[in-house]
Amino acid sequence: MLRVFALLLAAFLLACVEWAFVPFLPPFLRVHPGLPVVVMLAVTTRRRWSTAFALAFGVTVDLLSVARLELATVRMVAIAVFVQLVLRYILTNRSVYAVVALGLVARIVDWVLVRLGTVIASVLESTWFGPAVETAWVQQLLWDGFLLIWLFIFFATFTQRLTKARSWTGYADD
Amino acid sequence: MKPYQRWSLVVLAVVGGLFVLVVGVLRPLTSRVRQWFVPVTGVLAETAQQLNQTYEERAGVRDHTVEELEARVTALAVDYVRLRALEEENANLRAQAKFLNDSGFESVGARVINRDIREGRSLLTVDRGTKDGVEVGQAVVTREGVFVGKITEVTERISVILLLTDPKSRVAAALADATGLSGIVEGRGNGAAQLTYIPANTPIARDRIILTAGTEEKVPGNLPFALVNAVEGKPNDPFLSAILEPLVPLERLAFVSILRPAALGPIRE
Repeated sequence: MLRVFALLLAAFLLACVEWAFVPFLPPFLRVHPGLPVVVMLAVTTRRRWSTAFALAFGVTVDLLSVARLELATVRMVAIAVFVQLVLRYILTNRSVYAVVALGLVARIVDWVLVRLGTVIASVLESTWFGPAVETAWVQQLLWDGFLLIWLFIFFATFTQRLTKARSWTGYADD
Repeated sequence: MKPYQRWSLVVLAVVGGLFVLVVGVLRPLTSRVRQWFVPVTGVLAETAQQLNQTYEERAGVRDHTVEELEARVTALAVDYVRLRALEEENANLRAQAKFLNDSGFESVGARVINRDIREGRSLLTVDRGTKDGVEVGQAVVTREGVFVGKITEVTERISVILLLTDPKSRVAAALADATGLSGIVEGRGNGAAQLTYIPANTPIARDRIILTAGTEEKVPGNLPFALVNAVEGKPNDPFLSAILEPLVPLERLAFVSILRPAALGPIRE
């Protein structure tokens, strides 16, 4: 129960940071930390944890976004499910390279979803769709890579999540 | 549960969620939940703004001389407009710093908690809503009384400001020293705005100050907001247009004041 509460609190705080803190930073520091955390949770914990984090994160961002329709809940949950499928069938190893590659692919999927939403919004003659903070794509990918490497090192150093043998369904003690 | 049943449930949940979102059934609940976030987002936004200011000062992004000159231009423009307006009303000139207190406008201060200036859009989210008497269409000014935009969406604790440079923004404008409506200011989406439908006989030139016309229900007149940068039009055209430059850097606003309906009353002596 405590873990669930901590996870939801972390998702809420991270969403607040992404929505209210990041837009005011200098342009080169405008990073979107939510997606790398979802990817890392999918790699290191049970799949329902990353889905729950994605759901809580997305709901918080959508609740805060009055000015435009972000559909962050749909996007984040879709990415969490996509990442889990890729982990199950394609990138089955858990090296730092695999995690970074997975994160970058997840980001590209997010961009595709955003573009899809933008096209639908333009057809419906609405220009309000899309994330409020947009970062240059090279910068975004570099930040994602950096955050994932940092998270990987953190998990490898302070937990046994990346050293224990594990089935696709995750850790039994989760 | 079989996989196809599970996926059917997921698809149903997503479609149901979208339906609820579009219909707005949960709006009262989301509005209530949203107000819990305001204190946290306010603190985060303020911290980030301070960090950004420190970074810009250390990195030399901000040129203090230019900033001082810009501030002086704004102050002079506000003083000038105030003087003219008060002359017309046969009143005394009041100090710029006391604009909001002395001019008779009731205002509510608001902190900017989100900034959405990209892809041509220019929106700010502030931590004031219907509970503070904020309504759609009300004018938003800086502390010096420079008009920056209008309220476009309101919830219980959060409001969205459509800045005057947003392509969807339309503001009835007048020239300083002129009487009546001079044209409509339309946002251009790139940090600039355009004054359109200016009658050809209007004496307009570079560096003229543009004011709100006061013809809109919730936007008082004589609020300065832009300078003319360039005038466009041919001699035979019935209407001219002018490119405008906002008096204040809209992308750096951290605090604003929203003028309430009571502000539309006569100026108190």
